[in-house]
Amino acid sequence: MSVRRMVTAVAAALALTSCGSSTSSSSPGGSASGPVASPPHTIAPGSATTEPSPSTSPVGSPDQPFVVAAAEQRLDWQSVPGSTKDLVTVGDHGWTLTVAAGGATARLTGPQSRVVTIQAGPHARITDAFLDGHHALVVSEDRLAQAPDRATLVDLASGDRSRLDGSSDPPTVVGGTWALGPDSLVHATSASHHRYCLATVDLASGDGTTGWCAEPRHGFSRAAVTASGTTMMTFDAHHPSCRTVSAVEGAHLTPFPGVTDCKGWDSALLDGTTVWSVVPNSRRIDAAHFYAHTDRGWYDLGPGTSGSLVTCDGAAYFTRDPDRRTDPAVLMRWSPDLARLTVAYSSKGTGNAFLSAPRCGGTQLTVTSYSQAGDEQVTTSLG
Amino acid sequence: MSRVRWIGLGALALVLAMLPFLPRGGGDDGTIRSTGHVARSGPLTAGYGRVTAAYRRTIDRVVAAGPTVGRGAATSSAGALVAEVVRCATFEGQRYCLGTGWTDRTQTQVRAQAVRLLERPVARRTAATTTGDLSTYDALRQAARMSPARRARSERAELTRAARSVAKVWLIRHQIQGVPLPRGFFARHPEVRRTAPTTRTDVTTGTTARASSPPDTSGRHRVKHWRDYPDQGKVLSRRRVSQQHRTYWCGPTSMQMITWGWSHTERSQAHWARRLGTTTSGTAITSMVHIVNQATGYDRESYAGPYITLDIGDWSFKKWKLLMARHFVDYRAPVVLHPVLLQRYFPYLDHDGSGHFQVGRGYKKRDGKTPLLGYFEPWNQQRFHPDEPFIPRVQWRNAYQSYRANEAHFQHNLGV
Repeated sequence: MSVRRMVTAVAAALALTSCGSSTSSSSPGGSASGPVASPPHTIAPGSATTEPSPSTSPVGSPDQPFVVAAAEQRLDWQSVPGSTKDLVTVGDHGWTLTVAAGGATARLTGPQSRVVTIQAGPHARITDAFLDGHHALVVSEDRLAQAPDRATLVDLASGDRSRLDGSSDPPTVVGGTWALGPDSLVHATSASHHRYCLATVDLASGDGTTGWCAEPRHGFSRAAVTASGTTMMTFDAHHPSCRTVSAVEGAHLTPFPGVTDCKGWDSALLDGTTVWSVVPNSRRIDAAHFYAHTDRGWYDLGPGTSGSLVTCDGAAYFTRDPDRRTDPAVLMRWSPDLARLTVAYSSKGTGNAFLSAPRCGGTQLTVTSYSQAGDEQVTTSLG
Repeated sequence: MSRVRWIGLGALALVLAMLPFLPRGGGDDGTIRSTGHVARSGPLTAGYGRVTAAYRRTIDRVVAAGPTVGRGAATSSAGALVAEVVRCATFEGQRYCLGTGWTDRTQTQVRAQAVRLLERPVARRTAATTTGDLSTYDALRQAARMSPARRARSERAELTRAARSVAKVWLIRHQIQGVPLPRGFFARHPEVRRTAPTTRTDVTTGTTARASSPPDTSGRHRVKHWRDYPDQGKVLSRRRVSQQHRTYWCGPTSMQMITWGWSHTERSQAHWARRLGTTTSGTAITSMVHIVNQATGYDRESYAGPYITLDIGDWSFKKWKLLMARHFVDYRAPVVLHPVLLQRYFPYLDHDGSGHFQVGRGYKKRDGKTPLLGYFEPWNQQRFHPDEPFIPRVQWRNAYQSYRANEAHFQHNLGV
């Protein structure tokens, strides 16, 4: 589905549905688990199905999404050599991108012993690193937040490097969101009249354009680019901010339908479907609840960690802390085509454990686990 | 008695009978709510001790080992700089290293780690966003730049403060880490509190009363365990919070909130920056601990006793969370948290940050789950990164993640 069709579909759905319930947990220490937006459909024990029947009409609604039971379907994970303090993204065809602890350098290694080392510079640090089947993108930020970000884009096939910085058109800014997609990358930029905008750079031509701009005292963050389009979180200047997750195309922003007002955090478009998270209690900012919407219905994917949503090879992944002391930390996988939620990875040990946000490298997925039973960094092939 | 009075008395009796079943309340109002917690441990903490002749000789020796002439050269090698500045004193079997605090590591180990940190490339010494704690590099350079006389005065004062808190260190080693107290400990440390006041909150009136366990005379103590603590403990009002005004002011802002919580009087962050000796490079945790002792009453023996800088590098999570419970429930005092602000530990951040200070102020047990740690977060990322949404200063999170963030800090220590 094209971005335009997706945005149109989202807008249509928005017109047809309410924007979700604003009910949320009010306890600062409240559990992240359990229904968030509204009392959802429940599945009787013993009769749980992990996916609704394809022959029926769409399941759930924005106010009562269908609670999807997670099935166990762990992927085949391989240990990544080296320290878990290094942030590793394993890619296709033997490529690996490693950001060393401390963020001073990124090392891109590939087939035939190809090595590209990218330095952050004397007063900067690498803050973002992306790898897919064709490109690597490494972003470094000035430590004193005085100079605009500097990004290095590497074409894996040719080895050509290009740079994006404050002199690019559109220019980079200090900090701000970055995301790499199959055909384009996006970053924050500044425009006339001190506007804060989203720039899109076409990876084939290198041409950049300035698209949507935030209103004064508003901002945006957590951009995600997939083949289906670009999404991000926008917010206002209230305390706490009213946060909205939206699809963006050019200068147009279309909020996701069915998201609890002002509570959005993560977002992604996946084959014409939407996946998002809300943070119901801003005093427990890392406790999110995940949802999805496809043409088959509205789904409640359960609790997870804010900031952990990543798409990779046609599925969405997010992390979840142990629900009980007897549970491990897990990586959840949402397959929108099957409306299926599975546990793709479990940490060593149980109870005291958590996972980093996963990193997608084309058709490879890498995740780091921090557990009382031992840390590990592992990767799996999805292809 | 009239029928109305009988009905009234009956209603009152019914209410009183229902009291045990009333919810404890989970309001974040700054009070510890406990319906029946009685500590059965022995001495909980100590006041300030005296500096004995033996301690004084130790201090003299360690201070004298510093340079007597000239200032440290800016170009000194890492090894030379560390050897010059990082020196340790042992008081009654407990080791205190200048700038680092109380540690189980040897002086050689502490120095070796400092050298490793200094030998990193320049860019790795500091993070992309420096929120305000002092890096090893900057701390050592600051110390080396002092004149010998000034540095000797500073080191003597730091070691003297340390020497006066030896009993507190021993009690933590004993009650949290299970280390037996040395023979004659109580005779040598009359500053140790011999009764164990506990907090009991009457849920009907909200008033707090103190109770004491019997004095201990045997020197053997029942050590409190995590299960002995109430479901939650909490100090400081969530209304007395503030966000740091400068990127490197997490220390002054944390101090502002701690002192505000104690005195209910708010002083400016600039005031605390001056008191703490904060520079654009940040604030040292030893300064944080010193000023908590100077500017609040949390250092009284009826609270936490003198705050100390404590290395928790080899502590398990079990011991760490027990220390938190002890502080919030038994000591009724906040903790100077010292994490490193990396996204892997704080996934809601959009940028990695540096070492950092937060104000630890509570915990909540959760049935069958890792407990939550409550803290005040001075860092409002939106203030310095307009690309991030505002989040509240009052936060609760998985305590294990906070423990890992504390452990991952290069100093892996706390102010307790």
